[in-house]
Amino acid sequence: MSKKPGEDWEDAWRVWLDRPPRKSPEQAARAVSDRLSSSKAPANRESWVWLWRPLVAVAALLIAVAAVWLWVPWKEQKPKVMAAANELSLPSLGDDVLVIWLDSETPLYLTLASDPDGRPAESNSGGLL
Amino acid sequence: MGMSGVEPAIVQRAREGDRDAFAAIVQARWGSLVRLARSVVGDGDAEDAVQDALVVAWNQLSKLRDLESCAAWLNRIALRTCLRRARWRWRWLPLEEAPEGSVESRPEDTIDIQRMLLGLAPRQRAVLHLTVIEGMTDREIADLMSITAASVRSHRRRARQSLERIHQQQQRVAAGRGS
Repeated sequence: MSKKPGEDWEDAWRVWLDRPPRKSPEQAARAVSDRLSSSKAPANRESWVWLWRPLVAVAALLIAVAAVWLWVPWKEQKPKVMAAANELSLPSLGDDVLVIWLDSETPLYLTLASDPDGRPAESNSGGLL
Repeated sequence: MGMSGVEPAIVQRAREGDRDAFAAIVQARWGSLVRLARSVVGDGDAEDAVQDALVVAWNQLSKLRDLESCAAWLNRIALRTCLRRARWRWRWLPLEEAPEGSVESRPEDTIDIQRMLLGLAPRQRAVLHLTVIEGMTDREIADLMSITAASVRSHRRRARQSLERIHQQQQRVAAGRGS
């Protein structure tokens, strides 16, 4: 019976793999034991013990995020500005006045000019007057 | 599966730190692990890779829950170690620069096994070894390699296509030498 093309290769592969290793099992066991002498015995190392490093890292990260959340000043600045703006008694403003708050105590008033007919003036520069 | 098991009592003793028991496991599994490693990393690196894997296994013995499955567990660690080594070599050592004769290949050999294996991606070699040599099912291979059965089939199909191409190339070269 003739062989399929792949079978030649598979037979040769098996022969190649069946060659004995350079180290006998006894020599290999000795070589591995020598390498183990520098490492600790695995006994009593339960799986949770291996988790302490990731757990500490996660806890540290959570503490850092909480600290930033609680103490960074930017978080409170915006509401303060708005509250101060609300508390200030502003003069009554017309429809053509624009107020821009530079900070909590400094309003900037911009008045839009209009021509006598009541239409907004055209700017030569195309921007604010 | 074609892989001899290891006595659970010996595994238990090794887990408790008994190095002699672990040496017995090494002796029992050495030949089989070296065969697997030869297919994945080649002859030159196989024994070193298996030793590395066995040191890893010793350090992780406490994670082994099912003492009966020690052989499969060792295979998984060895395979992972070999794939990591092979991926590096496969990426940085193209086929044309593969060390000829690092296997004890004789000039009269018409099939250069190591050279053919080097033409495959590391995962393809592993899948082919577990299929052809160990006779494992797709499900068993998928479990061992932590991939899907569909991936196993895909790796095997591409491996066979590549092998056919490489084999034909080798035959052309051999015929050219002969004429």
